[in-house]
Amino acid sequence: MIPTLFGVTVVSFVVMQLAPGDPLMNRMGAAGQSTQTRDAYLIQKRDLKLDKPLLLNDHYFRDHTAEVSVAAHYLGLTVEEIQAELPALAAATATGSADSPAVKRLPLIRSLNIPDLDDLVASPVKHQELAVVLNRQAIPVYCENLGVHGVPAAIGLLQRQDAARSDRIGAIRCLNRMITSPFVFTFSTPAKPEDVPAVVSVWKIWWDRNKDQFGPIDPDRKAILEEQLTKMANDVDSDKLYDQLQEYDRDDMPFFIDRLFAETPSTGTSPEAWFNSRVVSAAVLKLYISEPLKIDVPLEAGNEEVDEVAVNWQTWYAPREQEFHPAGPKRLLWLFTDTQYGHMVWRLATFNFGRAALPPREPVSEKLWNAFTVSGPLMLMSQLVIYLVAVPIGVICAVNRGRIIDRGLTTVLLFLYSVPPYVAGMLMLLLLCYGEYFKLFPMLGLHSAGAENLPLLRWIGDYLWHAALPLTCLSLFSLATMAMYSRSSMLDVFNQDYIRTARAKGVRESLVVFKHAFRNSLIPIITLFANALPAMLGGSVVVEVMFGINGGMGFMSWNSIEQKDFPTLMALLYVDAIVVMGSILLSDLLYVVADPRITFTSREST
Amino acid sequence: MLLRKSVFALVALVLCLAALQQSPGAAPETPTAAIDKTKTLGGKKPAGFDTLQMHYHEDPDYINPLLASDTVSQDFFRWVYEPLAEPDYHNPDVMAPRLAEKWEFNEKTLEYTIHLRKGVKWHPMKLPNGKMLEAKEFTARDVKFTFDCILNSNILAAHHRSYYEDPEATDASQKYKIKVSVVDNYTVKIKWNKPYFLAEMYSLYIEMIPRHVFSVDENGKPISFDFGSKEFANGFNTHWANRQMCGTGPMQFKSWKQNDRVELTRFSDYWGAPFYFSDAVFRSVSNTNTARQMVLNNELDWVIIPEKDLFLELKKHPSVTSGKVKPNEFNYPGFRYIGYNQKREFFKDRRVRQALAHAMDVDSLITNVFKGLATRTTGIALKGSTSYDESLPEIKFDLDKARALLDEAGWKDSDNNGVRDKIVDGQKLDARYDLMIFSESQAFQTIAEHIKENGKKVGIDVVVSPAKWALMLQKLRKKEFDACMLGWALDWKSDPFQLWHSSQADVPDSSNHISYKNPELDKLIDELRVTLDLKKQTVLFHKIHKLIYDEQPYTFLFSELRTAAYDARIDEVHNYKIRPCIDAREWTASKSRAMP
Repeated sequence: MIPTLFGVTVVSFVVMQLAPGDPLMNRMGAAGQSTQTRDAYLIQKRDLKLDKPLLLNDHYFRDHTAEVSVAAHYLGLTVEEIQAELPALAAATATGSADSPAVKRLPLIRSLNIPDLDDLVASPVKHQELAVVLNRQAIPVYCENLGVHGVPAAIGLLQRQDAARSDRIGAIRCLNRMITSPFVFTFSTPAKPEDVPAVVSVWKIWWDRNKDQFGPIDPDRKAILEEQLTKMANDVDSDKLYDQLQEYDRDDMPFFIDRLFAETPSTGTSPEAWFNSRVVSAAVLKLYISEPLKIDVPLEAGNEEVDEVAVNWQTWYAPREQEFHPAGPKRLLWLFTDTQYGHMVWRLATFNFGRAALPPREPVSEKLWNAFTVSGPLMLMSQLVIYLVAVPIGVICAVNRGRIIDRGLTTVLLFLYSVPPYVAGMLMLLLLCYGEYFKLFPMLGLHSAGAENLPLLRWIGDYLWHAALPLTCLSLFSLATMAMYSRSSMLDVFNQDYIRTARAKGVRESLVVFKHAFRNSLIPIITLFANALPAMLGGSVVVEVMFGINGGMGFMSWNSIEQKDFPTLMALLYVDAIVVMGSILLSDLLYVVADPRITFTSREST
Repeated sequence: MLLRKSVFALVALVLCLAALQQSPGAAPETPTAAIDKTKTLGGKKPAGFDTLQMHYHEDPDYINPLLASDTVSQDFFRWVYEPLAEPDYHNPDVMAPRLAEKWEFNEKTLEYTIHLRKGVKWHPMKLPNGKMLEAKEFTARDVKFTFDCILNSNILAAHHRSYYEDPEATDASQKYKIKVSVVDNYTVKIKWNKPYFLAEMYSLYIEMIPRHVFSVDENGKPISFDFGSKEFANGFNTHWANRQMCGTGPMQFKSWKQNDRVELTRFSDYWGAPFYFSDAVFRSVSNTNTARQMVLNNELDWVIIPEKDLFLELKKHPSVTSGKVKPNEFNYPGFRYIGYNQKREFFKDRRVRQALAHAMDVDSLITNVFKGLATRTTGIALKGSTSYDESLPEIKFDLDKARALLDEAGWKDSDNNGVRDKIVDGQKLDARYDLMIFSESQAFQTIAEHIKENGKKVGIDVVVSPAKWALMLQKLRKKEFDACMLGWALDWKSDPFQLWHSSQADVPDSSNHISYKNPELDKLIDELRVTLDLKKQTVLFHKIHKLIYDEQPYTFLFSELRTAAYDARIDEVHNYKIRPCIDAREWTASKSRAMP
């Protein structure tokens, strides 16, 4: 079972990778400009782990310093400056001289898949175009794709005091593409003590740089602030805080800095009140100082500004350094697990399917369950109808083989078999629902308005009334198939010796049919039963859309395929695979019930 | 950089993406007349009890105006949420005040000072735990909060955010073009860091959301004290109120039974002219046939019927001929076109593109394929708007002219195989191209066949390749196509930058997917974007229209009419040039309908 499941995940994963597009492209692609920004795209891509390599993640074994310094080089220059140095690159490419710095940049540029690269490098008139492509598109996208794996290299470059100013600016810009919103300036809600170092450290840096701008606080004002802070700290769970937080002035900030930095509760305050006052202080500070730490610099930034931002990034990096340099065994583990496939298998194996890729990004399990509750009962009923109607029809036909009743039923079955569900559905709607001819059934949905207030029996009645036509539509095709199966397997059995023997013994015909023949004819039917349970998960797009049964499995799966919702699709396939295997097992067990010759216990030696 | 900010949205016949509700204007100050709360916009007294039955196709993802990017949810929150101001339906060049009473613009500081209406109440709202939230007045804090949310890059509102992003920003702190600040409870300032011709629209035409609702979790506790943080964004993206509505509009949210219906009811404390109907119900009907039947049976009041044959059939139905149901057809802002990839040698010559335009019998397509339910268009702007130059004639179907133009461009059939050819850079090229179309539309197939046939007549071999939407996007993105048939939805005034500026030509995901580059056009677009004067804007728009008309990088086909039907009991149904082209706030009824 496990190998089969594993095989299913591999196959589905490969198929998904082969199909064009991913869940983000439909929102991003040529059509999606107005629904996407680059940042939003990146955030979602990283969240869905689509930025990871497919099967093997060797980033932890590689040193990206060389590539990242080239990337930083091109991001730290203006388009004109890049354009000015491209002739050197062209000359170096032409002569192939290995010692020029330009040549060292070539491997990375080649790896970027820029269309017509050779042409762009060779012809000077196209150098401006190439410069734009490098500076604005290819290199930023390279950094984005490298993501966290490029961070150590970029930080390393930033720390090198001998690096050119433009390279350090470039490194900062690389970091901005690799990581989105690194810092937290306020406590999480509910606030946790482990947030303290991260929050306090950023405000410490800010305060060190800006304390000269603030004067001391007037003692009277301080008393008022103290009183208000105490009040707010007691009320940290209330939305009223949003309004209270607005009551201050930039000049009050030193007070809140002081309270945020307070390492120990002042006398007379409980540890809880002290902690809450730190939480509130951080919130006030963020409200008035919207950008305490800069993470990006303009190209023309001076050394001082670059240093400042470099320190900010190092502050962020230092406590996390271990995450970027995992120990040997962990590295080996991540080689296989920190991949798109690895993350996916982990989600499946733990039955923690995560969130769907499509908005509104609800949890996948919830999504599947909601859809199942709509179409599952319908599909189950349709399977019941199929078995309860088809098998008796098959038996009747077989018993009356060649007579008018057999011929008549077979013709009807053949007719049902040839009518596609959408034609049948449309005809039913037109004839029985629309009121152009008759108005016997509702044309839409599974419940009447206000059905939830009906007593249980009436509610069931209402449901059946609504479900009758979709059910018929769902069942017709399989019903015909199943009836023909059951007819032919019954006929098979009738030709067996033991039936003749039974008849010869003088057993009553009804007993022959039901005891001897019917039970034995069930074997092929039970084999088909293995399909019944998975079918419940399936649903039918056509029937759902036609009869206005919204939110069923059919439409959901169709939509997930169309929109490449990988998490939902994988979960669906996985659950499907499990159900299929479960129902194969179940039909194996049913064989034993139907046919005493089949047994799981080892035979006694005779 | 790969930043996108188009006011266009690409539409394939069945896939109408992100219809944006923006439209511009430039009224510096509009005096507010005394508001008569006893009469509806249609001039009648509001009905005591009457339910308006509307229709929608499929459940939207959210009904939060910042997160939703589909047209369905907009139909719901149009009556619930209100922007600061909106384009006047009757004259979209002017902004009509809603939540803002008036505003001033300082051209020197590029700052809008917006004075908010006083005494506007938010709809009452209940927390999921059953507790009522305190009734609040709409204030400047809510405006600031709305903009804070839009500009938080972790919030799934990128379709709004892209309008404020500055693609030329030199560093992260300059990323957004606007700064919003609260002056007092009823005054907000929005400062732009560079002039932009659509600034007024993007400063005012944003639906406001209530801070007191969206800043708290299901227990009424604050989500995060930093509205710019990722933590707040996560809370906002999965907020309990994303599936409810709380606005300031004439109708308030009652319930949303998923996959079934959305119910609204009149808000008694509304500041403006009340809604005529006491209730409104939107019913989810995924089968258009059924929806059409429901309006014919007088079970629905208003239904859009996108399928042209269904609509034509409806017009002959006894319910329509007897006057019980009325058909409605109206122009819907947008156009369909064939775009030619400018990286392909064959399309580089303007004369070839003109020849292709002449080889297209658009009029016959409109009559035969669209049964007359489409109108011709010659350019990129919305027909009937000030930015559209009406003086440009439609390009005539003229195969001889097409042949002559191709001859002139040097494409001749030298080997008599029926396909023209030309020696380019020592290589013989055939006049052959691949036309990529959306595979799930019969109408597109017919049009493509028509193009293929006429191509053959003038010596061009057209290969039609239908593609699924995802494949189509991938090919557009990688520029692996020759020609494509697509459509754009339009606003009253749309920024041509994303579609036509050469800086967008090589950006993989840009809307300039045909890689069109023209320095002259760039200059006009750059100028237009910083021109604030309406008259000058019009002149520039016309110049742009003319230039693209002459160049024909697209063959402009037509804009389809939208077809709908409504119950004859509804009066005052008028059509407008801007989306959604109807305004139900002015509808009244001659006969009332009880709640079913």
